[in-house]
Amino acid sequence: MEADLQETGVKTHHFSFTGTAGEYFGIWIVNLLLTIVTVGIYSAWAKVRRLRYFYGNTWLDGHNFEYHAKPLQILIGRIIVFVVLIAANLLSQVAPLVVLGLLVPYFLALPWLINKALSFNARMTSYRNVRFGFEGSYWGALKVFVIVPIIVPVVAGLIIFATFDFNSNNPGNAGYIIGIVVVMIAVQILIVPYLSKLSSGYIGNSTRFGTARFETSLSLKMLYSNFAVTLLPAVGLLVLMGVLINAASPAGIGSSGVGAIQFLVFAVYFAFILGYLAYAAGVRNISFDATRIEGGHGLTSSVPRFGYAWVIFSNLIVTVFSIGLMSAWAAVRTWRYLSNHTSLTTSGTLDNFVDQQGSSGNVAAAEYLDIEGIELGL
Amino acid sequence: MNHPIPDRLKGRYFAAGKSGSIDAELSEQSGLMVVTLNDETEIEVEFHSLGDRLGALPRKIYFKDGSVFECADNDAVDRAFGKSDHFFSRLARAERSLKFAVVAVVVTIVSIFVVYQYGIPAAAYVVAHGTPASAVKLIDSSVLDTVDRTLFEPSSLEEERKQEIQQLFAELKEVSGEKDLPLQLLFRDGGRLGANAVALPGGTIILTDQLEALAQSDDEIAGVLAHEIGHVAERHSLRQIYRALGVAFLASVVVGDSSQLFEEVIAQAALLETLSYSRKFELDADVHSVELMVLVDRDPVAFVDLLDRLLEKHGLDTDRDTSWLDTHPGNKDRRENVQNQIDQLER
Repeated sequence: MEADLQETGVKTHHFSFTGTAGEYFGIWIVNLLLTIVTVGIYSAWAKVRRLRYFYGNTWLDGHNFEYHAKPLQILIGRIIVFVVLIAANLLSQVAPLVVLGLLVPYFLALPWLINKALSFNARMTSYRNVRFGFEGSYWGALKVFVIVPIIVPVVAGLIIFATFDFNSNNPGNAGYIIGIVVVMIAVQILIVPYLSKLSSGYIGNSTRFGTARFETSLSLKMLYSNFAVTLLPAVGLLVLMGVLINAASPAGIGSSGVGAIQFLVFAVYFAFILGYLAYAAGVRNISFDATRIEGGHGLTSSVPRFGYAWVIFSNLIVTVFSIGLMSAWAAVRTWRYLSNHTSLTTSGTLDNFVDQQGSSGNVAAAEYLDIEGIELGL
Repeated sequence: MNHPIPDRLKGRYFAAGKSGSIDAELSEQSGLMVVTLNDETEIEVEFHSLGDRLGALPRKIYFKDGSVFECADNDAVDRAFGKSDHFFSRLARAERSLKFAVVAVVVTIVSIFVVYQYGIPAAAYVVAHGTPASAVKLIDSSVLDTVDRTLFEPSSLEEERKQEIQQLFAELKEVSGEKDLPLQLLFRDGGRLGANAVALPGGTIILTDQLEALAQSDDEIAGVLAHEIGHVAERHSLRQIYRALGVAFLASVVVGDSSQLFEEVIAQAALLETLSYSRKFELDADVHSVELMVLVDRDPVAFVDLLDRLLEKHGLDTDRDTSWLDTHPGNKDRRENVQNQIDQLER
């Protein structure tokens, strides 16, 4: 058996994480203290140290990953984003309608921003002295991040609007408007797996390691069956709640009724969070498994979906109850959990990758996505 | 770029831009850095930079041609490059020290508390009072434009009644001492908002027809107007805006690197906390109202009766305690607060 494996050269390497909660706590608390003392300026250094720690302690086949961004770069990026966000905030106070008018240019710029951010993040990551890269196209990103997620639900709403006879439905009727909104939200939720296919495929196929291209082809069927066991139950619960609240006559809702509704709303919110976390873990598994790296290598991810949801959720509880002090522990726990469920199947040696110059991206774009909490990438 | 290397550093060498590594040693020979590969090949290298120390991570030494030497012995690297006193080497020691961590936790918690409790409100106060009147007036005109379109209808109050109330307003304005912002009173039909009075940041105060109808005396209306003047004079709206910005910034600094979910929880908590601050502003404005009403020789408690009637109209309990989800304090607390202020002024 052993001999067979060596003959074909197929080998499985598991990712591992060597960081510890105790060691990271020291780094984390120093980062936090210096960031507060320097009114946020040190946050750029803090970010670099944090990512260097997590990347650096992630090992594969006896080598670790590296994060290369320079703190000064990050600081400049953050200042640019900060100034733009403050300006946008003030503008929205003084002239809300102007901000509304800026939405179209914003959505047209978004694909460019995302490409530049992903290029920067990939470019700043290396393994065995070879950098990652990301080469996206504007139109590809426009389709994946703007047209399908935003335009499709709006078009669906408009079709409903046009199909049902305007006059006989009493225009301006609140129920009619709510109907259209419900349809738009339903479409938005139902296309989530399709959006996952588009974005994972786009990101996978635009990524490379040195000169070696990544190739990701996802099965829509697998994404929808993942959706069916994770997010769909939460949607079902939401619909059930709607029916229940509708069925109870308004006069019948006493103070206990209001309490029951509050409880229901909380339960549905909770179900959505757990469902979404499990869904995201499922998408990670499907995307990694569907990714091949030039040279005959392949990624594998086997994160237990509800196990992952539990890790994140219990992290939140522990973090809240420790007034944030356990967030270093929580971060290490999450990273280790993901590393331990990831592996790379190789055919042949990993010694022959060659670095390649490419788009270096834009640090302000990367910081914008970071500050807005938009997480993209494999 | 002359770095004396006393010992030979053991580690791995990566040729420029290649993923393959070779076991190697780094040493100094007559002023030059030399990498000796395990097959005894010697490569002369020019030093470019040394990675900062962090945890127990292997150290990287970068050379000008893009090749890299990796060494797991951090102390040996620090000795070799004379970096023991370097900022990041000290930092790495601090990060490893339990004593430092304990001190850092205490100092961090105390400073977050102080910044949050005193720093941000004080900064918001200073900036709010320093914001040029022209900028604030700009906010007024745009907000007024928006609410006129979406919320209010033109007032159907008789011209004579408007004149009487403007007269009341002029008296209060006279004694308010507000010089920077132009106080002006506008009348609107409240529409969905119903009986209410609103103060915009730049000094524009709006009274709805419904509130005028609900009032039983001019003292009640004057009390409400004095309360709104209080909001303007104390720059409450502006302080609220700046404070929210400050809290958001502090929150992003403190939990910015935490998980998305935790950030979400903190954002919700900050929102709830803003409500408690807005309740405090309401009580401040009530106090301001009492002061002005005493100056113009009117009944300072009258407007609380109007507030009671307002709650009764909505079928709410006037004796209700303040809840943490309210934007305004309960009337019981407000009446108490107003009475306290009156007692204090009498003394």
